[in-house]
Amino acid sequence: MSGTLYALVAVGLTMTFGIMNITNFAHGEFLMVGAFATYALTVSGVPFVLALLGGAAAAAVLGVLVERSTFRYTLADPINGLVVSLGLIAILQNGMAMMVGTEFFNLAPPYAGTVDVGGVVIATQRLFTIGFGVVAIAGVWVLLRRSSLGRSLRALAVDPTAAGLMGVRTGYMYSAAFALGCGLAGLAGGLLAALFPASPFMGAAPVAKGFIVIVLGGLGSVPGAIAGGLILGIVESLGAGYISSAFRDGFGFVALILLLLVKPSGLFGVMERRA
Amino acid sequence: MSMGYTNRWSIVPWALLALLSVYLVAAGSDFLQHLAVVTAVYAVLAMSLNLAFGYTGLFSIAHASLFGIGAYGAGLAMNFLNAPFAVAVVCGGLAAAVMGATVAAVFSRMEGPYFAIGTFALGELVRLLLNEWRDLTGGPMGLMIVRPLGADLGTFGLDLSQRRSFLILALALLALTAIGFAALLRSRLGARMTHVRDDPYLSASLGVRVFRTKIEAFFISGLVAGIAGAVFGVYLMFIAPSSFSGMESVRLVMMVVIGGAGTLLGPVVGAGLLVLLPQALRMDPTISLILTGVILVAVVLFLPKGIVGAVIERARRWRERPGLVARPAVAAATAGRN
Repeated sequence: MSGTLYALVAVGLTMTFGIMNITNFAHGEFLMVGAFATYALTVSGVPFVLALLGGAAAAAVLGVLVERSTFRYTLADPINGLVVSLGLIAILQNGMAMMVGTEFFNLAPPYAGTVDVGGVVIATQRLFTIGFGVVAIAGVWVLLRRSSLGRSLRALAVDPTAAGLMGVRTGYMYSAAFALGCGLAGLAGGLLAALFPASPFMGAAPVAKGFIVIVLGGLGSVPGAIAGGLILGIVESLGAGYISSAFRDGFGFVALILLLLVKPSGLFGVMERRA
Repeated sequence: MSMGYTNRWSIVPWALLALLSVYLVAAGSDFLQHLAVVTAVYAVLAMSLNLAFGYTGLFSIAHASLFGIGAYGAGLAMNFLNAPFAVAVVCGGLAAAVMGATVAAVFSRMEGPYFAIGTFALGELVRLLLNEWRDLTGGPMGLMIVRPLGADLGTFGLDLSQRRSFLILALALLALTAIGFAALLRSRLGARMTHVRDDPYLSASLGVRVFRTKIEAFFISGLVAGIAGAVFGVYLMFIAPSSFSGMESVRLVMMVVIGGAGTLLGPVVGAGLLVLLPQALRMDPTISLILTGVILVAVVLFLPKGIVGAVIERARRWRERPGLVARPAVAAATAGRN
């Protein structure tokens, strides 16, 4: 389950990196916004699935606003984009804290109960999270591979100038890429809100995981992000089960450092092309 | 774009700072002295980050963690090994330096944002260790550090029960860091660092050992950050993981970028602004973080060299204004000497 969520976060992160060359440390804050939007919608009576989509939409809209007002102007210097994203963390986290306070918000799991899958008992909510996450990732995959939008985005990732000359509306596509990435983060946030308490500061841990995942998988690679997410989920579960559950979050870092020492470009690295 | 400190005017702000320091040590109220200690420590910390980011191009989001390693290193050395204060400070500094150098060794081989991501990961790892390794660090409850009594060689001859001693210590550290960095930047290592920042490929092709330069720069940066942390930890007498969180590292980046990365004075100005302004305006920390976030984004978009960088740029343009260039060379040279 955590693997699916990591992959959701990581696919969005790796897309904004691959297409716009922006290392967005504020990605977790879009996740947090999605979580709160989903929470607000569910509490006011909207069915959970629609609330999830609403949360994703809220994060996507915010993403477009942020992209249009800031990241658009830092494309020439990736470090500036990175610094801007750090400023956004401060703005979004504390802005939300000012609006809702710093306590935790618990959402009753919309799908209570358990399911017996071939002798293994799993909470329905977790099964739903996995299913929804897999569907969303598959949807993005099809979008990137099969649609004209996806083709434009991939062209932009390879060479913005050439893509522009071939008729891709680059400005428009940057917004689309950012909306898609932030939407996925918002979706992950909504799914998380149903499993764990939500707070304005919930974004930091998932984005740390997201970065481990995309470095494991190779920066800018969508299949790498998916595979990396699943690998990280498995590594953490095994580490927590066999070594120490308190240091569960540490195993990913260890795996990351080991992999980088052996294969710096990640499992599905595309960095060589950028260098 | 090296900001050589050849202009004689650049000494003015430092002289003013020195005067202010003398006043604060001699006659500052308790509260002002406290603010001065905090500001000076953060200024040193921001300068250490600036050495990595502004001068070597190594973007670090882990400097609050290195600061924390310094504080915990010193605290543990004093609590468990009964180390004298001076030794503990060195322990804290070295612990942070070794950690920084290790991270640099793992992550600086790669292109692009890997280094920033690596330091981000280090920050999370340190937070995890400080929170979970409870036997050693006290976990989220924090660690008490007992200040040593009396004044001897181990406390640099200062009576550490007094606030003024820490002010002297912090100001001395700030002065040493500023002078040390100014000297470092004129040295061969300093030249290598700025070359690596400006063009790693060209530097490598000219025989600069890029990898080694990065590690050396981050070692020194970590050392200074760790020493600042050690002094601050003993000053506060109590440290907890929350003081060294990711948001703290973000605040350090804000100090450096808003003040002016790649300038000697910039981080000091940035630290002064970020520490003192919320105090002066009696601002809620939440609101002040939102505000500084907005200022950071605005500075990146409109004033990419930061406040000090922009001032230096203006001054340079004024000195090289067209009217001066048009004069005969001899007249310009004598005019420059007046």
